[in-house]
Amino acid sequence: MPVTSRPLRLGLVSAAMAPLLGVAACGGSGTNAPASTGTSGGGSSAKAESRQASDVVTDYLAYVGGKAGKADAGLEPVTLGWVNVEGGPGGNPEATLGARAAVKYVNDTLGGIGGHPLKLNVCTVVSAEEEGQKCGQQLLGDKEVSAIGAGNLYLGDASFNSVIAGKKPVLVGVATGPTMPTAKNTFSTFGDLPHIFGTWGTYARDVLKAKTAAVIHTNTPGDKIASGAAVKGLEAAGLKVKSVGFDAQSTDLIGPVTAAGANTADVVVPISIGGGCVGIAKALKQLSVTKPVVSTPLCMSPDVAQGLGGDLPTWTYGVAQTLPMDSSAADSQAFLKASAQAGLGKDDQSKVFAPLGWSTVLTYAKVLNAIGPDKITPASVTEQLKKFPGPVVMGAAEVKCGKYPDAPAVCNDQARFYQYEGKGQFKPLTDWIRPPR
Amino acid sequence: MEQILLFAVLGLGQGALIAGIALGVVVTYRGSGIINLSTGAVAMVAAYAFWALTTGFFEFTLPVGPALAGALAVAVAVGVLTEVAVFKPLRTVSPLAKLAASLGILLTLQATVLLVFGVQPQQAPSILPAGTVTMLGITTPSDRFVLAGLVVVIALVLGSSYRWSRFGLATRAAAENEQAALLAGLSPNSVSMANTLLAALVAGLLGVLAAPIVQVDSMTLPLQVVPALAAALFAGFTSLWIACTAGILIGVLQSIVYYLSTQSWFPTDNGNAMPGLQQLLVFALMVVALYVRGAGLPRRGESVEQRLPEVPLPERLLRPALISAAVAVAALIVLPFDFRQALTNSMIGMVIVLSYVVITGYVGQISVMQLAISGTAGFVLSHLSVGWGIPFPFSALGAMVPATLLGAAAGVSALRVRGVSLAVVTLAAALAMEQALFNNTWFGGTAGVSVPPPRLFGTDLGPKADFRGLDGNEPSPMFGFLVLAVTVALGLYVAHLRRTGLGRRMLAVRSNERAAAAAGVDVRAVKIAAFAISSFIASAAGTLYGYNFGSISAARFTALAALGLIGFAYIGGITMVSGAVIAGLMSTEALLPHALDKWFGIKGTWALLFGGVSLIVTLIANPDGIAGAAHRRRTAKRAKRAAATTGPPSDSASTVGSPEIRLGRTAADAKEVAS
Repeated sequence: MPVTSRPLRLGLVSAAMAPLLGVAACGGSGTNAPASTGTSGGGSSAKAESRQASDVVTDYLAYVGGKAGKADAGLEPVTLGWVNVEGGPGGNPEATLGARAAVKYVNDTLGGIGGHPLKLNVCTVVSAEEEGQKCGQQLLGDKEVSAIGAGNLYLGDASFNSVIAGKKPVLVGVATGPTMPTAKNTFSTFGDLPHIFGTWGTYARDVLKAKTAAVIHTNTPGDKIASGAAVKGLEAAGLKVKSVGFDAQSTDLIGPVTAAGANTADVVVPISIGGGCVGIAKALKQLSVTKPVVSTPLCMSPDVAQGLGGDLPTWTYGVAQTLPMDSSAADSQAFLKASAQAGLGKDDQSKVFAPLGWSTVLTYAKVLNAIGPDKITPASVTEQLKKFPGPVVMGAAEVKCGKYPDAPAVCNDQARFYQYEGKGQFKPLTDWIRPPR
Repeated sequence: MEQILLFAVLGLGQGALIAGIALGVVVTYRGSGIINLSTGAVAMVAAYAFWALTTGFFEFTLPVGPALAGALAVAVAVGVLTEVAVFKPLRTVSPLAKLAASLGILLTLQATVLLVFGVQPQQAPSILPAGTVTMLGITTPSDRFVLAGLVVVIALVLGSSYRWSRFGLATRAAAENEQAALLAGLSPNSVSMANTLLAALVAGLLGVLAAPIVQVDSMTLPLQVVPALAAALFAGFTSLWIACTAGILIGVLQSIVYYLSTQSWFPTDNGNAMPGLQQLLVFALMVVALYVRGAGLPRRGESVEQRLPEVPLPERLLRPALISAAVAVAALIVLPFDFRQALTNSMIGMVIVLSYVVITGYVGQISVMQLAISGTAGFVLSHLSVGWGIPFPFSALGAMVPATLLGAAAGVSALRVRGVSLAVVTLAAALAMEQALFNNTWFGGTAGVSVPPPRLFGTDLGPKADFRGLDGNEPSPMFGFLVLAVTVALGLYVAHLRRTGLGRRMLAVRSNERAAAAAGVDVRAVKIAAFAISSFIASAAGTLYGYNFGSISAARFTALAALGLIGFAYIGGITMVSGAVIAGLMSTEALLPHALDKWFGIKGTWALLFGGVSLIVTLIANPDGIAGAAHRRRTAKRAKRAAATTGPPSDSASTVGSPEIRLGRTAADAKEVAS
C-alpha cells in the first residue's frame, strides 16, 4: 500500500516541470532582453529566432558526429542508464518514450555510437522515495552503464542522488527534483527553476513595462520554490510583487487571486498545474481581470484545455525550450519529423518532456561519439559533459555548466516567451532572454 | 473588513462540502456505530462517476439530470456493497476494527478509481449556476450560497425524518440500545443498511455538487473526511444540526485563516505563507470539540459482545530471534542488491509496526501519529548530525529523545481521549504535523534535509560502507546488519514486554480501563508508558529511515502513509511481534512488493488495491491477522499432538475441545490466567 500524498506529488510535478519555463539556449546572439516592446501579453513581439542557423540543431547526423546508417547489431552495445518518474499520479512517461525514440533513431539512422548500438537500462520511480534509491542502486550496480540520463525525476531524487553520489554522470533536461541542481556530476542542459524564472522579471519589465505583479502558486514544495524564484526575478527587475499560495486540491481560486491583488497588478503570474491553472483562469474571468498573464508551460496540458471547455487559456507562456508546437521553428520541425520516424506518437511529441528525453539521449550520443566507444567510462563521460558548450537539441545555443556555485548542475538560465492565440496556435513573442542584470 | 467578509462567503462552498460529509459520518454512526473514514471516498466515487457520465469517458454522454441520477446510483451501490460486504460481517468486532475496516474501504475505493479512471485529476462540470452575487459591496459566486443552503436543507430533512418518522425512531432506538431495539422487533442490520445508504446518498450528492470547487482526484475528496470528523466530534456523532453548522463554520474559518495568512504582517516561512495553518486549525478545533463535548463517544448497547484480537503470550523468544537473525545475516550477504535493499526496507517497516503492536495491540489505542513521530526523529537527526555535528550514535539517540517526549505528550492527552476518538484526533494531528512542521523550512522544508551515514569508531555502518554483498553492489550489508540489530533488539523487547507486569497491566487497560483501575492498575501511568515506549520505537524507525536514504523528506511521513501502515499492521497481526514481521515484509518497497514488482510486474495501484482488500478480508475472516491465525493453528496442532501422546483426556481443560484451546490459548496463557 504505497500511499503518497497526492498534493505533494502534484506539487513536485509542477516543481519538476516549472524549470521548463525558462529553459532556453544562451544563444550566442540571443542573450539580451528583447528590443521589442509591448504593453500586453499578446501585444508585443520580438524576433522569434535569434540563434544562428548553426546553433539551431536540425541536422542530427552532423550534431552527434555519427555515420549515416544502422548501428552494427553484432557489436557490444553501449548502455545508458535512464531514470524517470512514471506509472503513478503526476508521472511523465513521455520522457522515457522520447528517450527510447531517440535511441531507436540513433541506432537506425545515425550509426549508433561508433557503430555500437545504443541501449537503455530503464528504471522507473512510481510513487515512493525507496524507488529512487532502488533505481540508483540498479544503475550504479550495472557495470555496463557508464552514464545516466534522467527524465522528470521530481520524486525519489534525494535517495537516487545519495546512492549515485557523482560516481556516474547524470544528464538531465530539467533539474526538477529539489536535490538535482546541487547533485554531484549532474548536468542540466535546460536549467532549473530558480535560475530560469528570472527571465519573467526581464519580460515583465522590458516588454510589458509592468510595475506590479501578482504571483499565484500552488502550495506544494516545487511550486513554492518556483514562486520564490519568480518573486526574486520580478523584484530584481524592479517590480513590486505579492505572492499568494493555495492548496493543490483547491480549484475555486477567487480567494487566492483576490488576495494576490490580481485585480490591480500589471501582470499576473500563475504557477500551478492542471486544476490550479483552470481555477486561476476561471477566477480571473469571474473577476474580470484583463491584465497580461504570463504562465509556465505547466498550464499547457490537455486537462487544462478540457477544464476550460476545450482550449487552453490564451495567456503568454515562458518556456525553457523550443516549443514542439511552434511549427515555425526549424528545430521543432526537425524534432517532429525525426521522432515520428522513430515511432514517437503525435500526442507524445507535443508533451514537454518528450523532447527533453529526446534531447538528452542525442546529447549523450554526441558526447559518447566524441569519446569513442572503447574509451567510455564514467570519468571520461563526466569530463566531456563538463566541457559541453551546446548547442542543445530543442534548447539553448550555448550552455555553461558549473556557472552557479550554489547549483553546479545548472547549465542554463534563459527562456523565451510565446503567446497562445487559441486553437493550438502559438506566436513567438521574444527572443531567448536572460534574467535581469 | 470587506475582504474578510468576502473570504467568509467564499468559505461557504468548502464548508458545505465538509458539512455534507460530516452529515454522512453522523448518519452512519447513528445507524451502525461505525466511524466511517471512507465517507469522503464515497463522495469521490460519485464525483468521478458524474464526470465520466457527462464527459464521454465511457464512450457515451448523458445529460446532467440522468448523469446525476447515475452518479447517485453509483454512490448508493457503494453504500450497499460496503454495508453487505464489510459492515454487516463486522458487527461483532471492536470499534477500532470497524474503523480499520473503513480505512480498508477508503484504500480500496482510491485504488479502484485510479485503475478505472486513471491518475490524472479531472475537472468536474458544474451543475450549479455560475453567476455572481453582489452583496455589501463584494462580488461572490452564487453557487456558494446554493451549496450552503442545500446542505442546510438536507440537515433539516434528515433531522425531521429522524425525529418524526418511524425510520428515525428505529434508528434512535438502535443507537441507544441495540438489544432493546432487537427485543422490540427492530432489525439493527436493516437500520444500519438504511442509514449507510442515506449517508452514501448525501455524501455522493455533495461530492457531485462540490466537485467543481475541489478537483476530482483520488485524494482531495477522501481527505475532506478529516475536517468533517472535527464537525462530527462537535456534534458528538449524533446531532445533525450541530454537524452541519460546525462543518460550514470550519470551511468559513479555514477561508478566513487563509486570507489572514496572505497578509504582509502575518509570519511567513521563507517568504511563503506559513504552511499547514488550515490543518492546524482543524486539529485545534478537534481538541476544543473533545474538551467541550467530553472525550467519549455515545456508547451503544450492542447486541453482540465485541471481541478484541488476542494477545498470545510468547513462549520462546531467544531461539526464534537468533535463527531469524542468522537467516537475515546470510540473506543480507547472499541476496542480490535489490532484494538486500528490500530486506532492509522490510526490517525498518517491522520496527515502525512494532510501535503499533505496543500502542494498539497491547493497549488498544490507535495513534495515527506514530509515523509523524518517526519523521520528527528523522528531521531532528539531520539537525543534530549536520547542524550540530553530533556523531552517531549520540545523534540518533538525541533525535529519539524529543520524538519520544512528543509521543509521551500525546499519551498525556490520551488520558482523556481514547479509542476511536483518539484515532480521529491523531489523524488530524498527523496531518497538521505533516503540513505545518515537516514542510516548514526551519524544521524540514520542502526539499528535505540530508543525513550523514552512521559511523562508529571510524567504521562506516551506512548503506555505502565498503563491505558489500556477494554481488559487490550497494547497499552494503553493514547497514542491513545495523537495522537487523535494532529490529531484533526492539522485537525481543516488545515480545518480552508482553510477559512483564507492565505488559499485563497494558492488557488490563485495553480490556476495560475502569476494571483495571478498580484492580489497582494505574491507568494513567500505563498509558503514558505505552505511548513513550511506542514512540521510542517509532523514533528509532525514523532515524533508520534517515540513514537508509541519506536524507529525510516530508513525503515519507504522510498521514495517508500512516493509515496504510496501520492497515499492514492489522493484516499481519497487530497484537504480535510476528505480525509486525509480516507487516514489515508487506510495507513499501519491502520484500513482498519488490518480489511482486520484479517477478510479476505488479506495482503501485494494484498494490494499493491488494492492501485495501486484504485489510477488509483480514478483519472479517481473521481479525487476529496472519500471525494470529498461524499462532492458533500451531496451538491446535500442539494440543492435538499432546492429546495423541497422553491418550484420552482426563479432564476437559487439556483437550482440543477445551475452551482454552478453542480460544487458541497456550499452556503459558493458561498459567498466566491461573496466576
